[in-house]
Amino acid sequence: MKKHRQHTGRTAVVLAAGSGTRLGAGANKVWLPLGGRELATWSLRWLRQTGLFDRYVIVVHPNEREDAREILNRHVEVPIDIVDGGKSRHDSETRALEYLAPSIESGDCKLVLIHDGARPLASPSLVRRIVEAAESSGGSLPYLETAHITGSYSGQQLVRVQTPQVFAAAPLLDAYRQAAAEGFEGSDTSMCMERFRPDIPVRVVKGSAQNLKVTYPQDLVMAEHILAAQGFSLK
Amino acid sequence: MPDQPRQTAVLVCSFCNRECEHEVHYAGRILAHAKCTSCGTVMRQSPTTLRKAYIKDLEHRAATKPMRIVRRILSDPGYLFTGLPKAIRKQPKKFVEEAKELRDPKKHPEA
Repeated sequence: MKKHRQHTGRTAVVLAAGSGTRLGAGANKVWLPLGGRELATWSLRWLRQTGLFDRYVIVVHPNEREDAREILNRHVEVPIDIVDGGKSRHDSETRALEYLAPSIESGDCKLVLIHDGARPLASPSLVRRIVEAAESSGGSLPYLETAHITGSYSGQQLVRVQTPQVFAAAPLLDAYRQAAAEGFEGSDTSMCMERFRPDIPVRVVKGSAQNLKVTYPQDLVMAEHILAAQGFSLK
Repeated sequence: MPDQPRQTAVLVCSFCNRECEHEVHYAGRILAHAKCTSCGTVMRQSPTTLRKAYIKDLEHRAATKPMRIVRRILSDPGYLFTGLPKAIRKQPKKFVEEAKELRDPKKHPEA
């Protein structure tokens, strides 16, 4: 008998449509093997492990929908809704939010987490801290301080923003609808919120250096080492 | 799929800095080397590091295999009669391929 999932009002969205494939450059890195399973499935594993979410959505390239379903059936033990991605990250986010719109408008979905599928090492403890911060403020994201700044930014504190980013669902949907109306495209979720819903305070939470984004081939090696060193189980 | 020794994916080459297709080669679950199809640069783990990582991972694979098979059969009982015999038949070839990836490229330039 299937275990009844507790209603939490929180939805996790993993973006896995891939910039390279969107550009027509070739295969999507989120489906590369990492530690014996496809890279994107690790994020879903850690998100599920938190027990904070009652719904999971993955945004994939339309051509990869069937492969994604097969992979997810094999590796992820919760039902996952698959949504076709768009031409850009922003477009994929818009599609995911429009897909969730009925449950956001009914008040069923109160909080949305958006995570980059190319970051396989966002640990359950990091996710918990970000969700906790977002619940008290309306929005939250992880950051890392940048060590050395030179040139025109010298003397200023710059930070690197990571994902997952978590926001109250209704203002988030509203921000993306306003962005669509104005033809605005943000590079990440917080940029769109900052522009269209500055009334929602965003709390920053110290991120983690291990929450790397797989961009270069050596990032895959690094991610493999981190996973193996922790026995393929992040806390 | 994870049991394929060679995959391709779009990554950024740290030498030519282009976002382009890379051939990614695995020894089991461990990345052995990745080649940029644009400039030909190969990112390779040192043979010693790779062998150590491979052996450690092989131990982990062997220890968790029974549990993984049981889980797979529970989620798809047909796997016991179709997928599993096929997977067993493929094992010798798979290990030969993995061993090839572990060879030192200086001694075996064709690797």
